[in-house]
This record gives sequence, structure tokens and C-alpha cells, in this order.
Amino acid sequence: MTVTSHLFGLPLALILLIAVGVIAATGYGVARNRALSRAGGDARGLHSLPRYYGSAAAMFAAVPALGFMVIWLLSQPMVVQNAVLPLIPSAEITDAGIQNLIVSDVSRVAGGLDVAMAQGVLDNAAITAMADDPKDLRDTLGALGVAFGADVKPYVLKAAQASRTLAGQGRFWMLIVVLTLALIGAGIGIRLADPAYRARNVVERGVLVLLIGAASLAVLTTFGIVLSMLFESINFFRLHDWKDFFLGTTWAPNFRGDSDLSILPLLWGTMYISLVALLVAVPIGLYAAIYLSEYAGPKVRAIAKPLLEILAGIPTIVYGLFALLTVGPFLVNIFGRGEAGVLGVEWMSGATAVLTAGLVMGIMLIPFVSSLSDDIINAVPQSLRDGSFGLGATHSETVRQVVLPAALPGIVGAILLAASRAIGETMIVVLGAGAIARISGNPFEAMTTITTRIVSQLTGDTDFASPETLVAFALGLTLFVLTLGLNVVALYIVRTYREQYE
Amino acid sequence: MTTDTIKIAARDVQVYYGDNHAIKDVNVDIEDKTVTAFIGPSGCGKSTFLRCINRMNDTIDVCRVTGDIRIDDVDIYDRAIDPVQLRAKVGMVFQKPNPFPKSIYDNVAYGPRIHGLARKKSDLDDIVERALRRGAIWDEVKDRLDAPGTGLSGGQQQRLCIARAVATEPEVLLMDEPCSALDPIATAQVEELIDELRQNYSVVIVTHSMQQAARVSQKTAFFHLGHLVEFGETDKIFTSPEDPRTESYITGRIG
Ligand SMILES: Nc1ncnc2c1ncn2[C@@H]1O[C@H](COP(=O)(O)OP(=O)(O)OP(=O)(O)O)[C@@H](O)[C@H]1O
Ligand SMILES: [Mg+2]
Repeated sequence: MTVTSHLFGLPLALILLIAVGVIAATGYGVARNRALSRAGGDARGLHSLPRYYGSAAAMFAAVPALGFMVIWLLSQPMVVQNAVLPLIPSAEITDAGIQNLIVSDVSRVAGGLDVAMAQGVLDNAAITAMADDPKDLRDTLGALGVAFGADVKPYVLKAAQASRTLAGQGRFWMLIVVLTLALIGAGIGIRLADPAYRARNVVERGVLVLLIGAASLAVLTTFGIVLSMLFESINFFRLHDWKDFFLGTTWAPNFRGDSDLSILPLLWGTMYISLVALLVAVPIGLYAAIYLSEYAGPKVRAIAKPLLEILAGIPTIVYGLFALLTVGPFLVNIFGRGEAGVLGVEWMSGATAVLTAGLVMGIMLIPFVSSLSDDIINAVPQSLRDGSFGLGATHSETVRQVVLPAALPGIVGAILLAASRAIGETMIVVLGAGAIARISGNPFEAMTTITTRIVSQLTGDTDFASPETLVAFALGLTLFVLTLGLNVVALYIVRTYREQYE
Repeated sequence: MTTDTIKIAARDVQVYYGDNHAIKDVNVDIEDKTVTAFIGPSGCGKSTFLRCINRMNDTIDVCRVTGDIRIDDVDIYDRAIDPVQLRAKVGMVFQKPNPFPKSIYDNVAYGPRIHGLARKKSDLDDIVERALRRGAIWDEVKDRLDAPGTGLSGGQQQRLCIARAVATEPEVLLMDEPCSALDPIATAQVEELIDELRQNYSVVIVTHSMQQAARVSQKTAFFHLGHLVEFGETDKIFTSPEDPRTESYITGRIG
């Protein structure tokens, strides 16, 4: 038995969802009424409120069935793919990349055939007829929006047909199992609906499981991301010496192979630009926060705070443009152009430089630092300020010696958060810092960062088996470890101070 | 009573928090080298009036003070007066203990450092020790002066705050329920301190304990709903009050 992917014009999964929903709703009503009637129609005779009996039955019906469906839908394509792999002549599979291409062709042809059948363009007889010579298939499917780079080969069509059959059978069994599970679940729920049954506790546990599920999904996703980066990084280190990656001093990717791929120049650029950014953002952001929270009257605050928040809402690409078109040329005017410049010096030749990117990134971080610090300063209890004023301290003495020390752990945390944002920032450096990887202390020179190199290694014509592409994952992983380390240190500092002062 | 012993003179003082008229027409003369107790039911304005005396109400945006308060015959609300300097002269212990998130030593040394009272480190050490002794907490903290002041118990924190306030050698000490978190032993020590301070300073203490007011003070002021109802010798207030409201309060009928 096979089942097509759409029934009555609706996707099968949606139909199943509705069916399970109906079963669950029925289970709810029946279980609720059964519990009530067994208690002689008096809800006070029940352990739980009637709706809990219904909810428990609905839960039993829906959760296992839908969980099974999700797992099935996720795993079926993989199973089918592996099953049809033997149909592809092994002579065609020269390496892993080609195999991937053929497999994706097969699934696209299969999908195209499904569409063609659904629209009545092709039928089973017509497909069988072209089995040995599927030349027209490319045009037929092309007309339906499924384009192919070359003619469809007979073995691809054969594998596609096989996978369609398998998928159809798979859908049939899924349909049976899901509906059976739902019915059994509803039946159990209804049978259990007895006045003594602790339906309320069962529902409570169900809710708990749901919440744990959501939380672990978030954690698992993080793990998945890290793992996938880790695997690709391991692939990279198979092709490239790790010592050169971590300790070499040249970054010169070359798509014909034999590249110098060392992280140090990029790490240097990242750190240098972030440092400049923090030197701009931390003092200004902190002073702005102190002014706003300690000195400004309510009227000034009402205007200045939203303005700062607008600054925080500007997309970073706009800051990038600002760096490239305004700040860069402005700085060149001051520090470059020889006699024609403001200072009459020749330090800066191009608009893209560490200073340009760092300044603009600093401006971007000001609202971030100031709004975090503002919250933290506001959280310092008024009684501490009163105590200081009461001893005859001035406002700035109070801020310096009482408010800031009390707020310090939070402020350090805010600064480290800003640092990890600076390290991960991409758009501003793409446009403002240039693309030259080098280790130099001159802030007027162009440099580049880890993030921008990740972008450039993955854009354009890339071969996902070459070290030039895979290096992006190693870079990404290093960046991740770096920001993670920063966050851990931030937490550690915050915690030590807290122990000291609470 | 002659005018030269009067330390603080208040005339027609009104305090508003926005529209809330918290202190109404208060006139009072507080003498030098005397302990004056402020008593009255919760919310009657004792803390508010106390805060007028060192202009702490300036830090509250909505608060407005009118009338005339003179210390040593100088109008403290005059434009020429710097509230910061005034507060160095008029110290305050708050209703809730508020030690700074610093070491015990730095807490006490805070005022003396700001006002440059010590030339040498050893001077400062002496000031800190003396203040902690007067605050009746020296024995408990002398081995851990570097520990954070916030790590002390509530009662210890309050005595630390008292030590912090006396370290700057104020002429007037305002104490807002300084013993509300203290056990009887510490309370007795603080009362001893108040008695000692009276030799040189003028002390104003807010208290909810009638016994305490009777024990430590020479003058007592009874506040009710923002009014200063009765002010006079402590003995007289507690034995033969003139106003019926005072009498019902001290005998426990309003509170
Ligand atoms: N910061 C403030 N803002 C607005 N209103 C205030 C403020 N502080 C006090 N008030 C009001 O002023 C009145 C007097 O308060 P105050 O704190 O002086 O009372 P109190 O006599 O010290 O009471 P307690 O014995 O409970 O400490 C109260 O009605 C209170 O609501
Ligand atoms: Mg009070």
C-alpha cells in the first residue's frame, strides 16, 4: 500500500494533525463526562476538576502520536535515500561530493514527478514509458519549475521512482501507526477517567515535561551548532596543520590550494579593533549612564534615553556605511593627505583602517554600555546615596566612592558583554576596516577580522571539501570559544564581587 | 532657657511631598548639649522633620520645604549655605542600616577621608578605632576590619552606621530609630553613647520606644499627623502631658 504526499489537496501531515486533534478532542469530552458520571455527576466527588480528566486523555492521545509523526517525518527521507543508494551504478560515484549531487538529483526528480502527477502532466504509464530514455523529462519538469543542469539519466529516474514508492509506503505505515497510537492513547485516557485517578497530577507532570522539552531543545540546538562546527573544524585540521593555523603569522588564502591559513593576523585585527571600540564606548557610555541616572532631571531623561535607544536600534550595516562614507574620509582628512590635510601628515592613506572601524563600532556600543550601566546604577539602593550625602559627601564623591563601587560587578559584566559583541561584529569591519590581514600596531592601517574572513571564505564559488572553505568553521569555532571564555570570565567576576558585597 | 543654648530653631516649617502636606507649622527650639526625642505614631512626619535639619530632603525631587530653620542662628536654607558642608556638621543615622559595600574600616574612614580629618594613616586608624568603640562595635569587628561592612548582622550594621556618623565629629547628630534592630545589650550601649555625645553635641533621636525616650532624652517632641503637638521636658511629657493626644499616645491609645 502506498499513500501520496497530498490527500484532497492537503499535505498528509496536516491531515494527520487534524485527525489526531479530533481524536484528542473526542477523548477530552468522553473522559471528562465519564469521570463526572462515575462520580454521580458531582464534581466534588472527583480527585481533580473534570477538565483535568479530559486534558489527561487528550494528552495521552496527542503526545505519543504526534511525537512519533515528527520523528518519522524527520527520519524517512534519510532512510529512503540510503535504501535507493544501491540503485546508482557505483561507477558513477567517484567521490563523496558527486554522490551528494546525485542523491540530491534523485530527490529533486522524485519531488518533480510528484508535482507532475498531482497536476496531471504525467501519469504512471508515461513515466514507465520513458524509463530507458528520460530525455524529455528535463523539459517537462522544467516547465513545472524544477530545473536541472543536465538531462536526467536513466538510473536517476529509476532511483527516483524507487524512492517515490518507498516514500509512499512509508507514509502509509506512518498513517496507520499515528492513528493507532492516537486511538490507543485516547482509549487509555478514557479508561483511566475514574474519580480516584489523579488526573491533575498527571497533567501537571505533562506540563513539566513540555517545559523541560522546550528548555532542552534550546540547549540541544546550541550543542548541535557547536558539534557541527567541531566536525567541520576536525575536517579542516585533517587537511591543514593545526600548528600553522594557531601559530603561523600569514593569512593568504588561495583557491588553487596551498594557502597560508593562520588565525593570528585575524585575531590581532579582531582584538585591536575591539580594543579601540571599547576605548571609545566604555568611558562615553559609562559617563552618559552616570549623567542620566544620577544628575539628569526627569525631563532630560525622558528625551535622552529614547534617543540612545534609537542609536541601539540602527542596523549595523548602516554603521558600516557611516564608517565607509563619513568617518573614514573624515579621518583621512585629518591624519592623511599630506599638506592638503588638517594636520599636514601622511599617516593614513585609505578610508578603511582600524581606527575607522574601531571608532564607529565604539559609537555602536555606546548605547549598549550606557543602557546596561544605567540599569545597574539605578539598581544601587538610594539608601547608600543617602548615607554618603548624610556624611557630607558631594554628589560626585558619592558617585565615585559609593555608587560606582557598588555597581562595579554589573558594570564589568556589561563591559565584557560589549567586548564579546565587538568581537563578533561583522558589518562594520567589512566596510570600515578593509580586508588586509596583518599584524601591525598602526591604527591607521587597514586590517581584517575573524568574522569578515569567515564571510569571504564562504561566499562565492566554494568547494566544501577544500581547506580554504573549511577554515571558516575553525575560525568560527575559535570565535565561539573566545566569546564563551569572555562570558565565563564576566560571570566569574560578577560572582566574586557579589560574594564580597552581599 | 537663654537663646545662646539654642542650637536649632525651627519656625513655621512646612514640608510637602508633591501634594502631600507632611509637616505642618512646626516651631521648635532644640538646645545644645541636650538629647531631644521625637515620638509619634508611624507616618506622622518624624523622619521627614529630622531630614529637614540636615537638608537631606533636597535629594528627594518631589519634596518642598518652606519656613525657617536656623542652626547657631544661621539659616540653613539660605542660598549661601552649602548643604554638603551642613551635612558634615549635622550627622545622621538612618532608620534602616545602610553600610557602604566597602570594608568595615573604609566605611568608618569614609567621612574623615572626605573631609581630610586625618593627616597620617595612623591618625585615621585612631579615628576609626575611636568611632568604632563609641559605636559599641569595636570588640566585635577589631579582628576583621577588612571584611565587608555588608557582611555584618543587621544590628551590627546599625552600630557600624552610628560609628560612621560619629567619626566625622558632627555638632548635631540626628538618629532615626537607631535601636530598632538592636538587642537590649547593644541598645544599652548605644544609649550610653548618646549620653556621652550629649557632653559635646546636640542629639536628636526618633524612637518608637517610650522607655527609651524617657531614659535618654531631656526634651521630648510629640508629632501627630504632621503637627508638633507638644514639646517640653521629657519628665513632664511623660508624667503630665497637656494635650489629650499626647496622653493617649503615651498610654498606648493611639499608635
Ligand atoms: N520620599 C517620600 N515621598 C513621598 N512621600 C513621603 C516620602 N517620605 C515620606 N513621605 C510621606 O510623609 C509622611 C511622613 O513620613 P515619615 O517618613 O516622616 O514618617 P515617620 O514619622 O518617620 O514614620 P515611621 O515612624 O513609620 O518611620 C508620610 O505620609 C509619608 O507617606
Ligand atoms: Mg521614620
